[in-house]
Amino acid sequence: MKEITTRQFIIIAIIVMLTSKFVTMPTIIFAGATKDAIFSIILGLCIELLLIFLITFVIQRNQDKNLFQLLKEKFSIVGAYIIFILLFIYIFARLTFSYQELYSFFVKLLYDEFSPLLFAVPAFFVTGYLAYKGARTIGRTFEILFAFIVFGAIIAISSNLEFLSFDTNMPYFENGLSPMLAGFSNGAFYFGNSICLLFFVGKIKITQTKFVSKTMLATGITALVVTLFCFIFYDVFGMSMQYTLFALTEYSQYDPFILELQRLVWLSAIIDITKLFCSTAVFVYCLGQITKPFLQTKTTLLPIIVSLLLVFSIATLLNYDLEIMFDIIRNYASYATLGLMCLIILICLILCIKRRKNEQKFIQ
Amino acid sequence: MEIMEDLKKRIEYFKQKFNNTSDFASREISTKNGTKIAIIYIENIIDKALLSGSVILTLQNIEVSQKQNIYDLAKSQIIAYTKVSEPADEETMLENILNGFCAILFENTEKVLVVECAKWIIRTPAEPPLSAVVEGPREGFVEDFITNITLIRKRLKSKNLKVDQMQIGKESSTQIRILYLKDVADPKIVEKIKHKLNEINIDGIVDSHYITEFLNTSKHSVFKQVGTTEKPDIAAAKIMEGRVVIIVDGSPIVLTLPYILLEDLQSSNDYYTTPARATFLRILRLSAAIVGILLPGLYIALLTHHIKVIPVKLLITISNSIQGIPLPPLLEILFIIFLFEILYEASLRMPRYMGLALSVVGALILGDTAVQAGLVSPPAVLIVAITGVMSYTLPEQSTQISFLRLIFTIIGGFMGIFGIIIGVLFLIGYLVNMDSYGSPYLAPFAPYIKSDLKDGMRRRGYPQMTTRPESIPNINHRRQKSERNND
Amino acid sequence: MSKNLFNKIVLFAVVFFLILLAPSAINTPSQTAVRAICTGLAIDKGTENQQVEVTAQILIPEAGGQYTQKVSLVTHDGNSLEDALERMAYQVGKKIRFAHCCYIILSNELCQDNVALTLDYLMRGNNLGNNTLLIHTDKKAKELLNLTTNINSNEVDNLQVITKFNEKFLFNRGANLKSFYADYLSPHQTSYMANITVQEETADSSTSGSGSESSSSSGSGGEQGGASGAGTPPVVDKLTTDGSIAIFYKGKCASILSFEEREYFSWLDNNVYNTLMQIQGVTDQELVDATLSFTIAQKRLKWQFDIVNGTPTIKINYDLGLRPEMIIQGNGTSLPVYNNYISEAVQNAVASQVSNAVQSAMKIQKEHGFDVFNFYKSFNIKCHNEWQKYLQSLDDKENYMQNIEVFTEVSCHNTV
Repeated sequence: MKEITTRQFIIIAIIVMLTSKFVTMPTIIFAGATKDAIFSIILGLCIELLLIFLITFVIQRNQDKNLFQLLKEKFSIVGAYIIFILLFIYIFARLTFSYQELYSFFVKLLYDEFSPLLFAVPAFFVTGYLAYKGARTIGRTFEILFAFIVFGAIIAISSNLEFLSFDTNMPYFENGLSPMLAGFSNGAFYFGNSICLLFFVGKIKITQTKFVSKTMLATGITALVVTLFCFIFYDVFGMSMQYTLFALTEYSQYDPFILELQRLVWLSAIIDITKLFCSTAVFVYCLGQITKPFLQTKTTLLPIIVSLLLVFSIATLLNYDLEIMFDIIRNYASYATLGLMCLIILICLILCIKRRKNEQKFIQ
Repeated sequence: MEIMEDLKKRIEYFKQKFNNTSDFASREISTKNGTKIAIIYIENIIDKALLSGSVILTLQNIEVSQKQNIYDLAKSQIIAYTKVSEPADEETMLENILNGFCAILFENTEKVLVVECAKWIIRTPAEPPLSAVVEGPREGFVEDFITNITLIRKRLKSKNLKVDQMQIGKESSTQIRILYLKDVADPKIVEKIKHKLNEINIDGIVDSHYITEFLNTSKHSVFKQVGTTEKPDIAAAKIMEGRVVIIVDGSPIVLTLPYILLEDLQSSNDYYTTPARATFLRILRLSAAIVGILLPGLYIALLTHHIKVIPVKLLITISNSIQGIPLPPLLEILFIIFLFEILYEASLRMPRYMGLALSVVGALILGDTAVQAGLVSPPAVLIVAITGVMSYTLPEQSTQISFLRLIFTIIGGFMGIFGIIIGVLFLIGYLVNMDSYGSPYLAPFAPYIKSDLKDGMRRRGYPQMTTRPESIPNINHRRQKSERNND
Repeated sequence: MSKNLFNKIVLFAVVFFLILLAPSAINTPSQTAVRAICTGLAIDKGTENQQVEVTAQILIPEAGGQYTQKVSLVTHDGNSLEDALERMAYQVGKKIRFAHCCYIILSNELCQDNVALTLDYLMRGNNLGNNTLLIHTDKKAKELLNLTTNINSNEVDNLQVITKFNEKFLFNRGANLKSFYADYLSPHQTSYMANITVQEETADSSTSGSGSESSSSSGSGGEQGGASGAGTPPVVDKLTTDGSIAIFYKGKCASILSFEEREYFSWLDNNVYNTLMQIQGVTDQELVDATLSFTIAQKRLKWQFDIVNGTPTIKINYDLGLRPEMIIQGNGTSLPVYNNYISEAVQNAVASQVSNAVQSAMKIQKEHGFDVFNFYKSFNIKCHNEWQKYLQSLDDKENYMQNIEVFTEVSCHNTV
């Protein structure tokens, strides 16, 4: 079923790619890489771009099957189930983290007291609603919000431009490459976001030519925006980074010259929260897609309810505590994500190459 | 056809058919030859001058020679003055009489003639109060569907303009006309609309709004799903875009389908001014609508949950004004919103000369007294007043905006900005799912349709609008030769 | 499950959730009623065995109150900032919100210890904006805060306006919480703060307005801010600043630069303009023992960082555009200013004055060990290996300023 247009897919790719990148990622990477953090981010973004490239390539070549059918065809049913289980674990962790991040972001940015339950019920309801309504609704909703998201990103980047000194963190690579790699291994979890684009295989009405190149152009610009944001952030905040947890909340407050109007910049943080919600809905959608073959149902309602209940119980068990999640990310999740990304890259390559061989046979 | 021989008996028979209604009238006359003729009609809907001056006089002067028969003669002579026809059956005849025809019964023949001599009370086309324009046509639709079709035909002198007729309502027998351009409108959509209309089985339709609810695709939605207009120029423009226009007899409100949200943003004024100004006005309207929906909710959210977002000096002003107000902020705002809605409703229903006094003085006095009495705070009154004004920049959606404003106020009070974000996401998710006869409700923004943006937030000049909107299904996409071809 | 039933269940759930929340939501008072809004903080050294004494300026909403809002001062001491603030919350009976806190005033006494450790709580806490201004005062911080009890009086505006002006034109960097820590945590460990003092002044009728207002409204915990002078005319405190800066090294206040000293430092800054320059005793073909005043309309610096034989050297090339303002000959006659007076003698005089200023600035820096212009970073970027070697060769790595030598070269031209 073709549900979304190319443009909608590109917007989804951009928003998914931006998830958490303005929020908790800069801090976690800085903790490992200190002054070389920006290079960890560039490295991560490059790998993510490669991933997106391969995924869009797979999408372009397989327009008539969904992911599960595709995997079943190439790797047999057992292989498909194994890959789905791996994907389930990643997306599940990503989703749980997303909710926790959202909750902490709210508490840090806006609230004095905020009961987790009061957060969880509406948040799960709305993300679940968007996911249940399917890719078409998600795509269109993102299309509406996209202008605002661009606006938010522009505010976020421009608000601190005047304090840029370019050399705060220079010289780079003072201690070799190891800090950069440490930073990367801390934050690799964040660069796996785009894995969930896999679930849009077979759902895109590809009308435009140059689908892959257009997607790559858009995501490439997004990567540049992320790099620019992080660069400005690291440059302006220097070593006091270690005091920050949510980049954007701190960032929006750091605007010393217009004290009374500084709070306009909150808008960008609020837009970012909306963006986080959007990408969370995408993760819920993916989780629903994964659970579907396991539950052997055709509707999406049951899988989404089941997976959301699971996420809800885990998140409640962890009490929406970010610190625990940070430990998990640093010590386990990032390495696991890295492994999964390699696996996905491999799978995509296999899918592309096999398909090409088939096509050649067909032509002969 | 069973028509009794004896005229008197026949008249009595028809009177019975109309349940002995008191306005059933009959006249018996005879021609020069002495042939008896009876005319029956409903008294109050007949043009008496036409009846006596043209029909009766003509009939009286008929001289039947041997070759001719009186029936054909009467028909050929009366036709000089008005429309004459032979009803297919008795049912049609009765229907015609109810529609302002008079029936002519002849002695010694079963045949009947129906002559149109209706005289309905028709308002002259005046400028509709709700869609006034600064520069532009000032004609508005009236309650008579024939006049309305005339007004549209006057603007669309096209042989492709098709008028399909239909009649709905067991009791009211309301005339419905469906207008569309045959080579533009998507036949599937026209069929679908006709099918929906045919399914209606209601006793009577008094106004076109009765039909809108049958035409809605989402039954429980608070959003408007059928376009309405009071102006023939708008209706004509919509027909040219490939829409279908439904005219209901007795209603000056004409329905247009498919309907998308963008139409509310577009006012007819936009098309009679420069593109730049139209664009500016549209942005203004949209932002006013957004502010109108969200402002009270945001105010409550900021005040009860996030004072840290409010700048110091503003916070001082607000906290001073709300100090000592007995009601909690949410209740206070709800109270004022309630008050304002009541005022609005009352001012609509009051006699006009009182309504004006009530709306201005009432709002001033009530608001001011409430503030003075320390019941409500000035910022709250101000915010509700501002949003009240803002919601009327989109007059067609003002009720929906009021409703949404109330919802967002409550959510903002419940959960703060988090609730508002959730609400906005849910609202957008809901709206993008809506679909009106093949047109996505939020088109051309979601899904994004590039060619339609020429008349989206930004209105391009007419030379640039070379194609019809893609968001409205149509079979003829091109509207004018592109500029390049013209050169 | 049919779609209709699903919709009904969803609707029921939403309505149920809303009804569940309704009572608490409707009863939620405005946050201004349950939070104490702090608009300024003053931190002093505690008395006796307490570490700190914190004074908070707290906003009190007043029904029908005017835009010019009174605030009250609440003081509490404690072992740490956190402790003091927590006790203060009990004293006030409300949670204290710092999001609107515009400035933190630190007393000189407190700044003798590492302030970064004291302020750590505020930095980590999620309440305080990281752009809160930091202000150093050489007297008691509370006294300065006491002068600003009227939120919209001139004093508050002054405090913010002065600090902002200083940030932009005198230090060329933020003097706020975030930049303080950013500098403190960098290798050079040197941060800035504006220095504002309280000055006793005899009030005359024209200035009594804001001054008396602020002192009469001093709050519950505060002492009278010294305004209770017995005789007439009353003595009123006024806050003043002469453009002096407090320089912090390793979190402690290392030195307070006077206006003249700050002028020396501004020669080392690319962006801070030295506005006026006066050279005396110039004699050349035209001038005899003349005094020349110039406006510096243009200042371009070219830096050259190098390590020569293990000694870090900095060469600074100045390109100055001078606009003559007043030229007075030795005999007292003044000359027209529209001529070009930049002769070699004038050039030399300017060069020596610049050189003196730079050397004086360096001398102050070497004396206290701080590194205001972050030479560490510049050397580390420009000649990384040699710099690291140089640092290795030192006994005390942090004392790297000792051997840095600065040479200046000045070329100047006349501008209109």
